[in-house]
Amino acid sequence: MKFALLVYENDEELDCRTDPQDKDYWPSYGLYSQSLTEAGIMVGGNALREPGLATTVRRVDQNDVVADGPFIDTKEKLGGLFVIEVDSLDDALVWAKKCPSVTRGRGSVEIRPILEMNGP
Amino acid sequence: MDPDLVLARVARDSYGRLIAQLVKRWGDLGLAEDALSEAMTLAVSRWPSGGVPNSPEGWLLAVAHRRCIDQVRRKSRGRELEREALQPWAQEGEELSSIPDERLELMMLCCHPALTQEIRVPLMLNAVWGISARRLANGFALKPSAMSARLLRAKQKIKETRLRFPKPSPDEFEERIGSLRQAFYLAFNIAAETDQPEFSLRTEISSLVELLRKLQPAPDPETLGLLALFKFQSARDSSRHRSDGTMISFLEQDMELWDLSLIRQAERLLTQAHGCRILGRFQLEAAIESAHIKGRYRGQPDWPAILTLYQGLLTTTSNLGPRVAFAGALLEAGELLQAEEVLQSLQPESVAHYQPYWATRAALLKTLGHHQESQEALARAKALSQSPAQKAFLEELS
Repeated sequence: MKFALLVYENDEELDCRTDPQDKDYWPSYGLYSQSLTEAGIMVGGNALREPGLATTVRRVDQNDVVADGPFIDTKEKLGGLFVIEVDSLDDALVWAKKCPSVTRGRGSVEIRPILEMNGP
Repeated sequence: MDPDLVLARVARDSYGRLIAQLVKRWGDLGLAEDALSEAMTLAVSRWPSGGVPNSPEGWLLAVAHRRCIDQVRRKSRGRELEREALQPWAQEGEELSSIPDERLELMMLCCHPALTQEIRVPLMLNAVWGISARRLANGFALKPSAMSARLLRAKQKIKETRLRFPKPSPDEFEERIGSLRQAFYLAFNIAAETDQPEFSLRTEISSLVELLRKLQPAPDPETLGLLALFKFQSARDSSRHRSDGTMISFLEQDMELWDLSLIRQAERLLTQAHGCRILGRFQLEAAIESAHIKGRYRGQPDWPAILTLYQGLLTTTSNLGPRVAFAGALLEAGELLQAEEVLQSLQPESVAHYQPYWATRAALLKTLGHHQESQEALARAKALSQSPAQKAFLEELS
């Protein structure tokens, strides 16, 4: 079954993306992504640009209200996601624990089963 | 063989064992429970006329397995089932001894870290012993509707995320052992409150802890402490109730009826646990039990020692039970003001449905001479009480 690994990162971690001193950030995701592919479980995924570029839209009293920024200001922000195909949450957990946002200690991974439209 | 008696025995002794096999095969606790329940219903109508099968457990397992196939077929809207699932049940007609006992694995599944901490214990008790949401609700100081909803949600998660039936590996044991002990402890207490002449549930819990002890790679002081605690309590089983079924308080129990060999076994376990030099909740509770029992033999309780052990106990757990028990000990030791302080420090919403709190409060208020308020607390305790023996015991307090 398919699971989404939602990669959450705190502000410090998000800053590492553009920090020339941090030689580890991008390679760690490169290796992680490669290991998912080599295990034959990678379905897809993408990294997201910084939350500062986010725009949120919602309907309020019949009007579509557009606002700058992510819709809730949280300590950890969605930095990207992977979709993997494994047998069980147990397997998804094993892979989630290897994700750099977890191993670098500045974020988390939320695991959510993907809704299969032809029925679970 | 009386079909009703056989079915009652199977429901009591083999329920969790059969559920474990069905969950292992189907990965769906709710489905397994419904199927076994239907199989038992069928047994009620079939066995009296058709006779009790040679292996009641094998029969129930085979019928429940077919129910699972039917259910999954219906829901899969014609899609093919996996070939393996459609194989007839291998153990059909076989003796109970040939059905693997994987209750420990079932319990470890219920203690999966992906399930919220609060539900693991009730889920285990519900899955392994079939204890109803209503009785669990009382034991865990929750409303029955809230307990049912939480159990359902946990079962959904096991099914929908396909949590795997665990294979016992040292890592898994280590990770979930704390939750398991907690479950054993609460189940044992619930079993003590259910008013039955036999204590098979407690025997089964003790034997599972024995099994856990055997499976753990090195002596674990808390598992030893827990087992000691159970043995101390079981040793006094035949002295707890009068012939009419009413409960007898600890200080009035007839020591002649206590099982000295169990007490000695418990003391040995406790000594072995202390040898590991890591203190913990269950060792402290066992030590309190030991101190109470020694006090009876000496004719004089050692209150300073008992209260010190309680203070140690409260540093190891934030649970309600030990706090209410500490208040009870303070009351018996004559430290009324301290007892009152402990009871007052508890959150009103957390004690609202907790029977021992109201019983202890009633006793304290009575000692303090507040008869009206004592009666009110007693009425709440009685309303929350499930067993007739306990109700009769509370009656005596008024």
